[in-house]
Amino acid sequence: MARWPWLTGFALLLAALPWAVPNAYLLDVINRIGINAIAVIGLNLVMGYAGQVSLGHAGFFGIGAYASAVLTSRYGWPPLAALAGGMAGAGALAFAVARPILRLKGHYLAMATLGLGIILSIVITNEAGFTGGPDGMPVDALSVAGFSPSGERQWYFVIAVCLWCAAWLAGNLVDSPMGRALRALHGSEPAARSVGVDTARYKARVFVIAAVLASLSGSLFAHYVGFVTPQVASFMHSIELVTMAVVGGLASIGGSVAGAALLTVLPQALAEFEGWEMVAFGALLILVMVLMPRGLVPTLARRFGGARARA
Amino acid sequence: MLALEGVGMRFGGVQALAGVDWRVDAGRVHAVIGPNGAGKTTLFNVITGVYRPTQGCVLLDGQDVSGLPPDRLAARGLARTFQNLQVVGAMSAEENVMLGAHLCLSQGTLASLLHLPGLRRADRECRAEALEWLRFTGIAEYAGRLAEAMPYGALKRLEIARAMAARPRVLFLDEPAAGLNQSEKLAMRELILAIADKGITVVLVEHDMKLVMGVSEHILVLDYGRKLAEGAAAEVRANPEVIAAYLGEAEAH
Amino acid sequence: MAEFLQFLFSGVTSGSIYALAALGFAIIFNASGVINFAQGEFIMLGGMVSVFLAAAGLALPFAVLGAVLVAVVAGLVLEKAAIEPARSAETVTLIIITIGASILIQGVAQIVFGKGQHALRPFSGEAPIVIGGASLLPQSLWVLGVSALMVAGLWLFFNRTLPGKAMLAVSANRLGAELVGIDIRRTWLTAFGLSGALGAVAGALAAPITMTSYDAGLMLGLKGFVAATLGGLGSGLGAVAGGLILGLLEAMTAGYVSSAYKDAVPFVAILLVLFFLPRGLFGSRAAERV
Ligand SMILES: Nc1ncnc2c1ncn2[C@@H]1O[C@H](COP(=O)(O)OP(=O)(O)OP(=O)(O)O)[C@@H](O)[C@H]1O
Ligand SMILES: [Mg+2]
Repeated sequence: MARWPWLTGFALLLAALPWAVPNAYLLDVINRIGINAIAVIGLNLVMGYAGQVSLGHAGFFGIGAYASAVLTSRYGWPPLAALAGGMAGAGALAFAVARPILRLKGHYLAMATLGLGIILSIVITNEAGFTGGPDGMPVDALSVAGFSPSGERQWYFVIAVCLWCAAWLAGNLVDSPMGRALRALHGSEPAARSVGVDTARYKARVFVIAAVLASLSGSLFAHYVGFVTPQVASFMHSIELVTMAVVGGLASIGGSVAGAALLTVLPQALAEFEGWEMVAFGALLILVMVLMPRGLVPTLARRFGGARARA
Repeated sequence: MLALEGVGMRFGGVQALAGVDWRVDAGRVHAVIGPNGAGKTTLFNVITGVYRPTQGCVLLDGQDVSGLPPDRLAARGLARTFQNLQVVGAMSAEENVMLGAHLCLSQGTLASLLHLPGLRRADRECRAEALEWLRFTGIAEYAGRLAEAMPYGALKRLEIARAMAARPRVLFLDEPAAGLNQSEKLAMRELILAIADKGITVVLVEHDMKLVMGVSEHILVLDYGRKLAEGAAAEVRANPEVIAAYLGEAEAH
Repeated sequence: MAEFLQFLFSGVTSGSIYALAALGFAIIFNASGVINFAQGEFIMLGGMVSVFLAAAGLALPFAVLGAVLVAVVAGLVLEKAAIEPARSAETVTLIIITIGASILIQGVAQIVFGKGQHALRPFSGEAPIVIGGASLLPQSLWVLGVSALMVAGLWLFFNRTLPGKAMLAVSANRLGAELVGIDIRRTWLTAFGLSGALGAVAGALAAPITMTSYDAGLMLGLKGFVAATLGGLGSGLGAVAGGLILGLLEAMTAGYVSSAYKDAVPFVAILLVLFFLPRGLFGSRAAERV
């Protein structure tokens, strides 16, 4: 189908990238982009395709990160089991709250998801006995059946494979009857319901998928960086994720990756200028949203391709 | 097949429907007429589950279905179009119609994520079927066009094609001819008759009396949420109350 | 009893601040349908600019006045430069724009004022007044009094003045208001300016009690949003009630349950309320039209 050229191209790009990037510092930035992109792809399914605002997504990222940190170090779980546990936990929580929360619309939905994220981050900060509190805690190395990725390059391949799989799964979903139902409930909920789409159920499903992806992304982040703080679950991090999705382009998987890239690189590039990085970040958000409300990738695709960006 | 018993619907201070009793028998074209604000759309909304009636109940095959959500009622064979177009602008005409077939091919999350072969096959068949409905409604030329780029008249038909793809037993059409020109109205009339020929029960809300009288065997007249009259087209047309409340007004236009 | 009274005082004090923040949200939401995530920054500006003008030797009333001016200008610039060009954008887009503005203002504040924490001198002394065994800070009285004045002033504005009535008309029916010749842009601009002023006053009032820093606006803004939602978005009285309820809930939880989870209280409360009343405590129950 139409997305296979994109996915193949993306795979080739991912395979070629480490050879084109000479130094470890750049590869590190790329790895962080990849980790963020996984969460953003999930978030974009919720926001871009299903049209449901979520301002608390970092909460699920935090669940993954702390599951990997706490379950391995304090309970001796193997890292892979902890990672899976985080995904299951994030998915279960998402499933539990999805129906009451996603019944809400517009700003009420924004409020509720924001509240959920903040509650999660406050719990992580306060339960210092498990999480190390505001100072954070170290995380054991990831190891899978004796293999433990070390160094930016090995990690790159782990992250690249996860990212590609996330893009592939998301692409499949969007192109399936379920994806059609999701886009339909975004476009017109009455229409979707009138032909039998159980909108509450579909919103819940996509919310769970996004939560699971965010948790995976959080786990990868925890192992990769080797240290987590409650910052990973904070409101600001939720905002960063939303911004990546919106600036890159809603309802565009390529846009998710582009948004993650731009907004991961920018703060790093500006980090030395205290305060100015926030000014630049804020100004960029405003500019992109005023000038290209559809986001970078769909706007550029429309301008140069004439076609709609679907990949 | 479908029966309303004392159905009432109240929005704050507005009594949009008041104690409406009505029966819809299988296999005919029924029409609901009445002046603006009479409660016709509200009647459709109550029957198709958009609102839960504040009084009375809706029976489908003898079972009380009032308060069931629209998607459950769709699964039981009710399909509809909307007075204010409800199409998904960002999807193509073809996809909009494929959406109609949702119930026939809805799949599990895992199958959707992995694109299992069964799903792909079903989706291909669904696409072919969608094309057929586009042809049936006479808008096949728009198949690949985004709905937001389609002309109004074609969108009216697109909603019908989508509803047909759901394989309904009863099809509710809310003002299908509103805003259409004379020749489009004639074509719409043919389309409605063709749908009825397929054995589907059609319930029609329409202001165009020529169209209503030309296609429907049974007419319900609403006024201020109350049933004013009901019966065969000829009877209703002769009813003095109806003439006073509605037809007279329409002819005076 | 003294204990309860103590929690009551602190609850009503912070509740008044939340109420002012919530009113800022409600005014902008009513006029324009925008949820202004930069509302908290107006509060921060109110505190920080007051602190720095006072430190520069300005008398307190002038320092506060200066802070209000700065926040009003920030509100006007935000509306003109970022909201107006995106008037017809989707909810998410507008949310991101105001979040961008919030981050930008924080950045500027960090550059100008640095990262430190600051306290403003209390308006009239620090000797607590003892009532029924509980002590009440004079600053709390300032908070309560000025908040009450602001609410009364807003009531007069909306019910007795032309710009106020125009704003209500726009929120009730934008097209209708436009047709009878109300200048929508001016109404929006007024709303942002007014919210800036409200926020700054709240910030200056709170600064002697809570300390302030360049990032103090975030939590205050979010809680103001919670209070506004609790009351049903867009309802002025709902916003005041929501603010007071939040303040009291917070103070009682901190006092009787756990102070660590004090900050979580508003968010737990709003989730519970929204689970059962999807449009807040006082929001309308209208059925959606199809
Ligand atoms: N969701 C709602 N909330 C409040 N009032 C409503 C709602 N839906 C309909 N009404 C009111 O109910 C009454 C009936 O409306 P309805 O749309 O059913 O009329 P109608 O017969 O379809 O009219 P038209 O011919 O103009 O389409 C009107 O007074 C309308 O304002
Ligand atoms: Mg109608």
